[in-house]
Amino acid sequence: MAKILIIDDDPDFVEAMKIILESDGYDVDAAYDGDEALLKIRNELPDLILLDIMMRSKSEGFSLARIIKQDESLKKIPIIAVSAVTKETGFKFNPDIDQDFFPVDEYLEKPIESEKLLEVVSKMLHTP
Amino acid sequence: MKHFKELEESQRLCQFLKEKCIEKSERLEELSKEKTRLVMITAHEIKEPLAAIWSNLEIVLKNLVKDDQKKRELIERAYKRTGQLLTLVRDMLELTRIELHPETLTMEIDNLEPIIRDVVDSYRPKAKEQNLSIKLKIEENIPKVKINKQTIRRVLENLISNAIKYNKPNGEVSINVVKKGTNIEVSVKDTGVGIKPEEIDKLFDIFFRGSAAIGTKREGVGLGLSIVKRIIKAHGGDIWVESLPGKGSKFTFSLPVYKGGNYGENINN
Repeated sequence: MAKILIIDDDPDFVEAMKIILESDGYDVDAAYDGDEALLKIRNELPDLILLDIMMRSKSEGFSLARIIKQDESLKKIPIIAVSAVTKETGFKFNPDIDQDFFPVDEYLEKPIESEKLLEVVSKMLHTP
Repeated sequence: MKHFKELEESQRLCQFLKEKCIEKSERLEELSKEKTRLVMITAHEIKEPLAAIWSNLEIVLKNLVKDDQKKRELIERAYKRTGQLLTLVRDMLELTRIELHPETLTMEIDNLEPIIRDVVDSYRPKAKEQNLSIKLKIEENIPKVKINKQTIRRVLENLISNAIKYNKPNGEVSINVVKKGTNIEVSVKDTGVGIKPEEIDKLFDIFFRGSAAIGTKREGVGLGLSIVKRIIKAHGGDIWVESLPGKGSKFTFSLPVYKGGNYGENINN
């Protein structure tokens, strides 16, 4: 079964996402900061990454996404960015124009409904 | 000739007032934007835990876990997080209340010493746990101050718990109380990681969390020091910080000495 790495500094949110993904049979691991995440990505080569972009040090998620997408051996791993930040901050992600600044494949706003999460994850894992 | 001079004078006055008006309105606009930004950050600080609570409850409701123990654990997580949210909302209310209605603080004329000793003693076990020594030095004959005991307690608790939290192992927390001019100055010094120079100015801002706080586990959202500052300001005092990265920080607050004579006199001053 596909391996998914959740990167988020909110343990309650991580636990919830883990249960939802595991209920659909995925193999799930978690990292709580950028350094731990990078180590796990290199060692475990997950099939998909769920990345919180507003971890406590605000730019951690953004720089992590850039490191992954600039690394030849990692750049094929799809990244789903998640955040509680949206319209109210004027932050809107557009995958077509924001690719350089923030290279992720999909963006979901917290809270994420379980069905929606599973649908997006499955779609991304099956897109060649 | 005289009229001409008067005219020139009033023209100059008009110009001066016009510039002052523009300056003021620009400042007001800035403040209003700052408030809006604050509302946005507050909403985000509330949304983040709400999202976690929502997901934890969704799992239980939709039966995504079957194990009862696991279900209980998820509800406990949601419950605990709700408690943190309540603290956040309470702190926000406290912050605005102190700023908008400082007159709601009941003031008493009292000695600071017993309050300080009491708070310091309550933190001794925690300091011992982390192998820290607490040193308390209070100058003799410290005059009385007019204070709201509960909030001054909160100031002391906040500063001392920070000094413990951000200290180094085997470090020291020293609290000094002195009279300086017409003020009493209380300083809380630690031997911890210190504060980066670029963070010092923002330290008392609402929701600001320094890099040292970010490194720790997720507790507190960065309201503590902004509440502390408002409390001290409401008492007519001031608070400031000196810090050397790697050496430690020293927070000092001042409170004006009560000007009346014996206890009970000039109570409404």
